[in-house]
Amino acid sequence: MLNRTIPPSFIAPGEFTLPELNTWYLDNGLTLHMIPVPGTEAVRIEFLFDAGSWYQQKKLSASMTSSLLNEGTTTRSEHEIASLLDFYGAFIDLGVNPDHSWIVLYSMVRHLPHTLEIISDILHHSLFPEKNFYTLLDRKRETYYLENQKVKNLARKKFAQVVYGPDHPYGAAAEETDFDQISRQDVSDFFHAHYHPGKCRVYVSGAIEKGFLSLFSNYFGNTLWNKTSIPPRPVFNPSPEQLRKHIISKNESVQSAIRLGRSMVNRDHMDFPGLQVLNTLLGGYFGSRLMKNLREEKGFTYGVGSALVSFRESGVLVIVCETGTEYTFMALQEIYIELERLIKEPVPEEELHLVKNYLIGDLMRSADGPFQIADVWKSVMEFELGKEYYSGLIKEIRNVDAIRLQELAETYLGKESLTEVVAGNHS
Amino acid sequence: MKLEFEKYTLANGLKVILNKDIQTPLATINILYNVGAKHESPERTGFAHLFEHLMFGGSVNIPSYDSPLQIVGGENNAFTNNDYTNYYLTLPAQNLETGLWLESDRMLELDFSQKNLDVQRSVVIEEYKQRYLNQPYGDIWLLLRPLAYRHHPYQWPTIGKSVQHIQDARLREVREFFFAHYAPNNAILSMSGNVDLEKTRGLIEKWFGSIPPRAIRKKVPVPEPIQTERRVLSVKRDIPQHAIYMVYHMSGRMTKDFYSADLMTDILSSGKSSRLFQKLVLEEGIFTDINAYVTGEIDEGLVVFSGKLKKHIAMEQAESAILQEIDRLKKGLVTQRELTRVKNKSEASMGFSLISGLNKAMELAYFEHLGDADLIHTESDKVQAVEADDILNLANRILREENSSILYYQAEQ
Repeated sequence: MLNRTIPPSFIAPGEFTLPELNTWYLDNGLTLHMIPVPGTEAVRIEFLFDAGSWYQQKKLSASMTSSLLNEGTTTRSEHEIASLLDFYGAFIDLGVNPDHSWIVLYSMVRHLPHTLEIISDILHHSLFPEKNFYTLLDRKRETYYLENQKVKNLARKKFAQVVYGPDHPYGAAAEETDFDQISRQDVSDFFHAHYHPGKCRVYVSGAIEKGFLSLFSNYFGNTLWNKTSIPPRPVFNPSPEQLRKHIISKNESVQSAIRLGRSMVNRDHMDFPGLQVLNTLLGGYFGSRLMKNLREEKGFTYGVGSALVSFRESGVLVIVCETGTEYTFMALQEIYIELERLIKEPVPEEELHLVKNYLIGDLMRSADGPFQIADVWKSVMEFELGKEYYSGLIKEIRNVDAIRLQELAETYLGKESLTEVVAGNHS
Repeated sequence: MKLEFEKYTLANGLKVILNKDIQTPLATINILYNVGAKHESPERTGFAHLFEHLMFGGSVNIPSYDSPLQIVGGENNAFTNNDYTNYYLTLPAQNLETGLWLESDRMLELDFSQKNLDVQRSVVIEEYKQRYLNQPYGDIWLLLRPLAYRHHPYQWPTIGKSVQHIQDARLREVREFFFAHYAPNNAILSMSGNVDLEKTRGLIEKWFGSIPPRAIRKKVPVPEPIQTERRVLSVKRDIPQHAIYMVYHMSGRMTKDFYSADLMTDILSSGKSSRLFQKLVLEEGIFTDINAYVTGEIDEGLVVFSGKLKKHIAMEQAESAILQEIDRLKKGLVTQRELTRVKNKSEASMGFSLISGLNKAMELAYFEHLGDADLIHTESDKVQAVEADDILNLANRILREENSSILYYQAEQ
């Protein structure tokens, strides 16, 4: 008779190997990383530029530039670019964050000669047509108004601003007037200064065939795209606000958004593996203490979580939650209780064991499929963590004990160091 | 690249589909139960979805679902739609058995507890607020569904018609619901991962083989009668810009028309080279954002047009601009280039979607639910078979005024 109360035996997840990454440095300064993964016909090519909002002189320059990249070159209209990509069944994804901007091409390997040519055209001959500029600006303005109605965005923006100061790229957000300041010329200037091969790393993953390197070099390796020299990296220092508790009123809301956290170390710091364990325990997975307490025991919220975010020059730990307005302050209180417990009480062995296994399993999941593998490699390379980083990380996660976690909690999670923002109806 | 799999049925009726994937250290298990919001009674909507939440509250022999999975390095989630409920988990391949053990026990029987029900009711009500009530434009589908559907249960969203229905759920009903819908003979188990398939078959038999089949409450949704006149609803909300929604009834997921409708809406609005975007966003500047798509549900679905109006554009102007584009579709053939473009795009999307283990397992179960997992291989041919004539013909049959429901979602002031 089958005894269903006894779990099957299992093997704790341990080492796993990422497919190899090979690097080429092209003559014009561009760095090419290749991660071949067999078993697919698709390939993903990401061009990552140091061209995030960190580098802009005027707000919106970085994001407008990125969004206009596929809107016209000297020989093709936005319509022609889009039809061609569609015709070859290819997609491109454009985006920007404070540190980077990216162009990601998803293509069938057999169409690469055509699809790469389009990206090459974009990088060499983008025009930023006036009309497209204004249409896009209107769309972005509408999105801005819409997003500003959501309590989670109000809380997110205020939180970043308090933690880094309104003039720091990690704390700054576009405001209504910025939409009137930006011009087409700003975008064109930004493009020519920052979309530079010397500021670009390319990550290729998936099906890579012989001849790829020469095909790629023909399009991207030989000429300088831009004639300018590489601009120096601007310097910013965080200037956090003194007042650490903020309430943004939005009285018609039926829920409030909570953001609670602080700036801290990022991925390349020695405390980071331990902090990953601590964060997972606190709010990094479905069985976390915050989820168990606020959702599964009390039903205050549909979801609560905590996250460690790594920027290039800093990191953030943030707890995120939306709760019914009648629960908001009880929810906050419970969050503080959970933080306090991490400082005061050692984590029980059983819970720690579970969290470590979960976290290592999660690292494996983050490498499920060729494109995800490229993302894992990207974070290793961009933070200069070294190719052995993942095997080291797994050992460090295994070695963290309850005493170490309490030390980390004391160092990083003290109530006095936290910024608290609530947006919504708190009457 | 063909997705290889093997398929069989256990004696108790559980359908099993297995795919071996040596490129990953992981395995994914997906279980699809043939119960969705359309199987609910109109007085008790939101039940299938509420039930999905309860499935994580422990089963008859295992007090917690999550922690035994997490301790072996696994993660799981689930979703409910109008047609079915889908559970999935991913774990290191060597620990596949833990996933089978957990899933089989909650298929066997849930631990029905009042406490779990009370908490999950509250969680779902917060979900209702977070997704539908506290978001600008959040209640659009709460308004549109009952406008378009007068009889078919697609008239309510999976979250339910109202918070009250969730509030009123009783433990007795939860128990009844389980035994009426959750059973091996009403489910599909699919697996993709780096495992030995023979051993996996043995483990599946071990954990699922002894679960008894159950009498399934068969409930065939009432078909929606043919609509005979245009329906209009106008509301005002605190939003930054007007929105317009126009929906037309179309046929179900398994008909040839589905593929024509899907390509037709792609030609209209997929990507920057699409008709609506080029004409109504870029050229005429009437909308800041416009979309056309099919709902893709299994029974008779909808073709949807939705747009956000640029400031100072009147609703009538926006509506007539969309109608003009519809008229163009009804009067002339789409070009071969347009057609090839959307066909290629559709084919590539399928290729890209079958890249992670999770998607492979999920798609196999979905196609089996549609009738046969092998349909995954003919999907592409069906897309390729659509001709310009089919689209012209379809547009004339369904994009008619008396088949339309329109929502004017207006900004206050």
